[in-house]
Amino acid sequence: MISTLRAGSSLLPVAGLGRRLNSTLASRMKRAAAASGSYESEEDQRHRLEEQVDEYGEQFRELFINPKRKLAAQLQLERMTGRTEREKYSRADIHDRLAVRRPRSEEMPVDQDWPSVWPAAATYKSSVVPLPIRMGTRKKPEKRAPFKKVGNLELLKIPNFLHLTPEHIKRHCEAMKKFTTPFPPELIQNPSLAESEFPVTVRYSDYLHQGTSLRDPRARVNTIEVKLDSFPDFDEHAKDKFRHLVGSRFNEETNTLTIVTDRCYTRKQNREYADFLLTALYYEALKVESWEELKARNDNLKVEFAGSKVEKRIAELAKKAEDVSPSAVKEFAETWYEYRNQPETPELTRSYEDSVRKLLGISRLVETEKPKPASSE
Amino acid sequence: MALLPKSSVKTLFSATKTLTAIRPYNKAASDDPSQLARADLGKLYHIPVDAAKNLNFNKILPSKYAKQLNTLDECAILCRPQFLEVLHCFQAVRPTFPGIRVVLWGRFGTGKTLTLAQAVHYAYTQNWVILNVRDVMDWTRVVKDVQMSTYRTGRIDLPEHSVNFLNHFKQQNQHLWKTILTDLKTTKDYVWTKTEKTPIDKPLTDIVDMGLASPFLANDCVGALCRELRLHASSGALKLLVAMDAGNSLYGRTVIRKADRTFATTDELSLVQQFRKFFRDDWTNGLVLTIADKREISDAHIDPFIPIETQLYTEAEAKALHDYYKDKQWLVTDEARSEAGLKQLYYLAAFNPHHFERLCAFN
Repeated sequence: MISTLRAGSSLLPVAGLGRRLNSTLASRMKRAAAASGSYESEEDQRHRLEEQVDEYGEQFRELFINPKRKLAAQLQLERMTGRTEREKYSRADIHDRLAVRRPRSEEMPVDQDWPSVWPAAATYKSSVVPLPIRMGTRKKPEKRAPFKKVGNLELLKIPNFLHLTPEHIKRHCEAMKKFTTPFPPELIQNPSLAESEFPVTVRYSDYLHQGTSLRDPRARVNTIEVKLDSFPDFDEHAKDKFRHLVGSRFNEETNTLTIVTDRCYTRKQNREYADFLLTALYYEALKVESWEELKARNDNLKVEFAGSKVEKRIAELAKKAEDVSPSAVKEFAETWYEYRNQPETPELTRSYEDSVRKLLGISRLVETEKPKPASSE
Repeated sequence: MALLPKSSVKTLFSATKTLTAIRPYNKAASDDPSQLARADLGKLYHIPVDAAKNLNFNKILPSKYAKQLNTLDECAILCRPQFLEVLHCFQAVRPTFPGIRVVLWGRFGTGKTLTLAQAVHYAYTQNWVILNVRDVMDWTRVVKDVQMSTYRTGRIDLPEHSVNFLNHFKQQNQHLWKTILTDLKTTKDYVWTKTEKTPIDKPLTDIVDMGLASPFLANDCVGALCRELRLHASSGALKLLVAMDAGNSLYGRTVIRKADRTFATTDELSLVQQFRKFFRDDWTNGLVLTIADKREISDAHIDPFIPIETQLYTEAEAKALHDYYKDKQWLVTDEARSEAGLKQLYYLAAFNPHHFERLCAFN
């Protein structure tokens, strides 16, 4: 302890470690060691040590009852209530700690150039990414937040897209621009040109995953859409044959064929298969086979009025009853075709009723108002 | 009802006519369906109870209405547009025109079966011959005894259903039994079996009686009866009404199994084939009235036919019925009898006639 009482002793903290340094004995010893002339003369000292004796010849020793310090309990109270200052001590490993630098993210300005910091795909580095991220499960997340980013393995395992921020994309596009040609302005001005110039629409989808694997089997699905009108050299026979070959893949309302291929492993293979199918359909539709002359009324896609039993009936009806006009028959034929070839709805049935009444000459007695629009049963 | 002598009843009524009597409910001008016109829309007319009994209304009408008929001891039906349309079609029937095909269609509970019953009653009043099938779905879905036809191989006879039908026919046409149906004679020899036959020029009632006597011949008798009626209708001797409830089941599915445990198609049932012939154009002077029942999904090609729609109640129609139920003490609670109650009934039933009646029965 005496070795510490050197030139820097005045810089040392007073409390705690130095509680006994300020004791009465210690101050005395300090005074004695000061050797700057004793505060008491030699005469006084000799008197105190030799003459100031009791009947037993003992020197007078001062009795220190109250130590010149605050007790531990009192000090604790003062510290807790904030009446004294707490001493600040540096840690034992302070030098080792000062030797290591702060994470880079703490020194990053807010407006820095992120693409330069993270130019390519890389594993997550918590010291580099300045975002306060947390990741991890907790039993009660409202009590304890998920684990912090430093040393968090989960953040490393997942794919991050820090190399694909909008700024990155912008720069990629700028770099690619010299290899591109401008979008044809004719297509912008005339949107219907897209259909005539590019009749085939190809659809496929990519899938992102939050997991250890980026693969998704749905990505191999390939959809091709073509309008029937975009085949220029299709006559009625070819169109009909095409529709027969294609079956339910054809949408009547939009006149579009949709082929979905996913039987091959890769998207490219599925695309090539779809292209093959389209080519095969085109050439087959144009061909006329010998067995096609066996086509009967049953094979038609729609039920035609001409050649139907109804037509015969109405012809006979016209013979029997005189008041059947040809215009009524024509209107009936059209309504019947609609009624027969579409799913039956109340509206179709009513229009059918009108045409039959005109045909048979039995008009409606009561004009009923439109039925109430209630929910269907 | 017959407590007062008739004369005093007449004076009573004439007395009430001089007062501006508030009618308890909207009555039609006459109870004779042939007199009903547009002015009678939304009004109730009565079918006499003995006519209802003769026409076997208990079996034809929807069960709830049949119960109401028995309870109130009277048959009051609302005159609605669809019935007037059907009457108009009745009037269009003539010997030069092939059988007019009318199909009643509409939502559940809007009065298809009831309109059919009204049409049957009208035909009864006009002395038409009535061929009424209670429910074609019975034939296809209720499997009673089954017999292979001897007339055509591969066809299936339904003896019990045929007997029921012949009984029903006999009951409904009692008023013509001794007159038209006895006067009209068979046009050819019918050899039922080696021992039984109905020779030519015998009254048509013999065919019916033969079918009723021997059930195993009943189906063939039904076919013969249908043929004869068609021929006589075409010649103008009678007017024929063929009224089939669930007529679209003639083109639907069956639950009848054949010997190899597969389901029979409707083409293989002789009853169905016999009634499908009514949809042909080779006979005249008749009306074929069917109902397109939603219980069956079928693809019936009986063009050209007139589809007549049955619709939900209008406020006036529902009010007329409400007044009738009030008058008959059918409505029990005071809330139901009030105007506010009527408005609630409108919307609780969503203007559906069936639900309206059910609600009135329980309130």
